[in-house]
Amino acid sequence: MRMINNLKADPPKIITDLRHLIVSSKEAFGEKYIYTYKEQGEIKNYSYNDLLDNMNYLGTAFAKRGLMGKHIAVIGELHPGWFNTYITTVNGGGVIVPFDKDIDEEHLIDFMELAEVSAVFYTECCNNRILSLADRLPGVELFVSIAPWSEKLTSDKLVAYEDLLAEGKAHLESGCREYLDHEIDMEKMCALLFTSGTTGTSKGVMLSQNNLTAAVNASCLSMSYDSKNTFVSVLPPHHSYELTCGNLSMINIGGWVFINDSIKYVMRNFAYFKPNTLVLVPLFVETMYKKIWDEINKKGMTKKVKLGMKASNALLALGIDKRKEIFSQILDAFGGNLTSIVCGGAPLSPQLIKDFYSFGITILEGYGITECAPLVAVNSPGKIRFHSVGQPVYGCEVKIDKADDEEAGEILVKGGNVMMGYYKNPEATAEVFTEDGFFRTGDIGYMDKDNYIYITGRKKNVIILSNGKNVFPEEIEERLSDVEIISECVVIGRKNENGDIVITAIAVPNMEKLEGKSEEEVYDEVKAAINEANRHLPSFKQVHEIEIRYEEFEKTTSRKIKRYAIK
Amino acid sequence: MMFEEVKKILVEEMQVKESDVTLAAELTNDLRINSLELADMVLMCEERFGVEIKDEDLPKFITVGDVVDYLTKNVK
Repeated sequence: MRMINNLKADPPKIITDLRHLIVSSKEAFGEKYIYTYKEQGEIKNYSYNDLLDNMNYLGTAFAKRGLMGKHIAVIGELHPGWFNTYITTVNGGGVIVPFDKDIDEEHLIDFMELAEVSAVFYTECCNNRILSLADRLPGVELFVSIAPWSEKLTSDKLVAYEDLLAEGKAHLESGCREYLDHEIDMEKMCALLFTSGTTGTSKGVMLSQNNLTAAVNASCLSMSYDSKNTFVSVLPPHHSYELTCGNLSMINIGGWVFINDSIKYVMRNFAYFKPNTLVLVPLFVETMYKKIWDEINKKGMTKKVKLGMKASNALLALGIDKRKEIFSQILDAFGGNLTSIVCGGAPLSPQLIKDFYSFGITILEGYGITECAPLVAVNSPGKIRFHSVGQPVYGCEVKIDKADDEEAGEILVKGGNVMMGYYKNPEATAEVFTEDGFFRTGDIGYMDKDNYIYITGRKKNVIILSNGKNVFPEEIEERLSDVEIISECVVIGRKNENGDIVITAIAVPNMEKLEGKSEEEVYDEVKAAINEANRHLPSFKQVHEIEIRYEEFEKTTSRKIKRYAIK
Repeated sequence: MMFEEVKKILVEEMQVKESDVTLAAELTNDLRINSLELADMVLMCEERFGVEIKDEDLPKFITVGDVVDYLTKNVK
């Protein structure tokens, strides 16, 4: 079972590389805003002209400082300066290494050393953290603060982002063309993305300009974006999903991106910025859904709304769309213009998708993986199938590795978007590629006769939460192994009654330390110890359910716990 | 009393059952509040008590008691 999906629709623009993306969008959209964002209490704007100008300024500063071709880390929340660091680096022969702002310090140092980072750009939220690490990163020549107003720059190694731009601008105006004339090598690594986890479990995904260009073209083609798109960016920018399907694709089609300034203001920013498109993970969509129904129930309008949905659906079947009028109060909570949400990470309930559609919001579920930059498949507008993550995107070949008598098997992908391999890890790279060059996703699924993909499971231990975050159980287990009153522990993702995946620790208590305690006391002590460990973990990695077992886990001959035997 | 104020937000705005709200109740585990709802709740606390709670402090709120303690210490 295999296919290549070649959509016939005319794309807004097919790019040849990421410099072409910026140059062609400046030509097409010039003064139009690409970013609107809040900074120091003010609303600021950033145009398509600024995108190209600032890329050339920063790139020329890189040229002058010998940073072209180097590995550049960027960490923090989305900001035009964050994006400029990314795009300048990839278009100047360098390698961008984006980090999760919630990563803990030890892992950040390990990853930066492994990635041989020469410069670190950081936004306001990371000011104190990065500076406190500066002495432990001898390989880093330059620290660049994208929000220098909130700190004092005290060392030669520190520079303000705005000063770097000014420096580059001066050199550019005096005739320096090194950055402008740089020829892009499409096959060379330009982005290095660490998958979540520890240095032991994480792998650095190497992406080339070829990969990113293919991913942007595929994303724009499959999702029918156009220049009327307004978008609120809420997911972290180091995620390839947000970066490719949100930022790079929006730039290609001439969209307008509003940057959400805090998780606290998400819902308010939707109402204020009035987006028509969102790229989200299930956590957001499910919370929006819950809020809609809570509000309806609170107002005692459940019956009325349900009747309205029936009537509206009947009219829709006749080709009459009155959803905006009927459900304006509901849609106003999200600004009133929202018509589509692209959602990936974990499946949504079909009822939720149907209800949103009844209200006038189309949810396009998709499937991606960092190694594929990331989009592999998506439900295109007008071609949605429930339970499915859609058809393979443009230029992406998908097949299922399965025995003849089985329905499902491992999902394999080939195409311009598939990574070059794992950084400094040829063994791991060899393991994930088949002899005929397909990438093994580690996800299990099947395809129907029309090539819609259905995901049924995963081969790896990774837990995917409804907020789209990947949690590697080994990392939490490593931390819990320090807890004296636990002798063994396995962390798994268990579905609760709401259908949410909850991080659950199954712990075998150390009865030598807990001698004479009742079962209840043992539970309470283990729970207290795990809660204490939780305080040192980012919230998405915290253990929320605890199960106690008194038998040792079943082991393999090499004394590894048999995870698959755990129920 | 701060506990009563936090309880009011949880019950009236977050649709949590009143009898479930205790100082020891865990927000995610016992009250089934997800991280986005927690952020929403924090925003309501900010507005009601005139205090600013940073995003990076959100992971520290595991129990209702954690929220109450934080507010007791920081609300002038």
